[in-house]
Amino acid sequence: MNRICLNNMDIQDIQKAICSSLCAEVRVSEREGGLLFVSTPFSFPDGDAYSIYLKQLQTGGFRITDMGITLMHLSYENDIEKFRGDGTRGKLFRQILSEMDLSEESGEFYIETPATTLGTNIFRFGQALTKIHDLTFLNRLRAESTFYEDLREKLLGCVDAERLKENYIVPGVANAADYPVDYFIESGEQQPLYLFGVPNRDKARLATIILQHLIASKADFNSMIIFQDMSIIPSRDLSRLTNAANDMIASMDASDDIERKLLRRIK
Amino acid sequence: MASDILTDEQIAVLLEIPKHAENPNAKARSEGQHSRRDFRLISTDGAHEFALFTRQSLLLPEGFSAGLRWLAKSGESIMLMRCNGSDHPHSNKVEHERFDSACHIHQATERYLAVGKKVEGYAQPTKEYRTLNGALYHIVHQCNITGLKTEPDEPDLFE
Repeated sequence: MNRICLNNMDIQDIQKAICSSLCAEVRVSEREGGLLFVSTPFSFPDGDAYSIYLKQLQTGGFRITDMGITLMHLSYENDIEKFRGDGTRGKLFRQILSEMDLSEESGEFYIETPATTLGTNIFRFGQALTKIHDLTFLNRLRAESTFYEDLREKLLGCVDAERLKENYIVPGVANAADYPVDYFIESGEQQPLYLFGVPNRDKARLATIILQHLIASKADFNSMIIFQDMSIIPSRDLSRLTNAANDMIASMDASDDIERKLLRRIK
Repeated sequence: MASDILTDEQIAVLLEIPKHAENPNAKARSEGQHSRRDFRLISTDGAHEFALFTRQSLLLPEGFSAGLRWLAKSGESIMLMRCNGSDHPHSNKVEHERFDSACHIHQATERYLAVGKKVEGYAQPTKEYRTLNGALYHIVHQCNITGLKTEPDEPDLFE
């Protein structure tokens, strides 16, 4: 069989180079309590290495464990109780455990493995911890940021950019700079449309205050609220906002409804 | 986003500004395999809010951390400083340097933000503390925090 050559290196040489560089980054050191620490290239975004320890099992083989340090690390900036709940993070957390055959006991992640597959399973363990870490991307602030980006994109799909004004200060209103509108959409001869994106309770309250201020100022306008998820807004906050606004869209998923209600107000 | 525009000068101001603990008697509680305490801090001029936290592994004595986060008005949380234990290696990804099994102090830097890394990605090894109590003492004094009782580690007689 012919050997494939790339820049004078054959595949065997490339494999050797990869293996030796990978091995050079793996070190095993002894720790207290009969533990072995496996130093690998896996690390958190802040540069701290993943905690990967080996415990010898009485039945032979090893338990690869993080000794609970992964969740401790994530708890610096995240509410790790969300991983236990029925929400999106909880569902994804359980899915990762299942997909990766990762066990978890009181916050400690582990995989039990025979010695013959230790290398493969250390790699899988690192991959699983990365997936667990990535759940932190689903925090509230990031979700809200994504919501506003999606909202803007959705609106630009319905109206021309020059008709859309963000963070609009309504003229002729007292202290108008304190009561900005998320979006003003020019609507020809109809009343102007003021639109708010509402990802949470706080924004629902703020939108209510702004709308009530504009109404009290005798401003002439139509208003529309687009929720990230209307079902999470407490009923009293929702009632007040419902009284103040004209149109509401329960979630960004209702694309057809957004377009229909929007176009009706601005044509 | 506050973190997009944070400079070293602003970071220094946030670290140095006098801060006071609003709940100095915050109780430790267990979560997973660690114990945690969380303090709310406010700058004495009332302009800034911070979170000071401690974590101690229940399985590894050398696995601990004491950290200070700035809670920006935008809702973002910026880790300004974190004093870690010696249970894990750390790599400074910009400088391509790595150290093993040493207590180390993470600090927010403009240069890590500028290249899209985690703001507190830079850390330096330290001998200022060996335990969580020592780490808490260190961060409280480095970051001008009052209202908390802390004590430094005893000198290491074997050093």
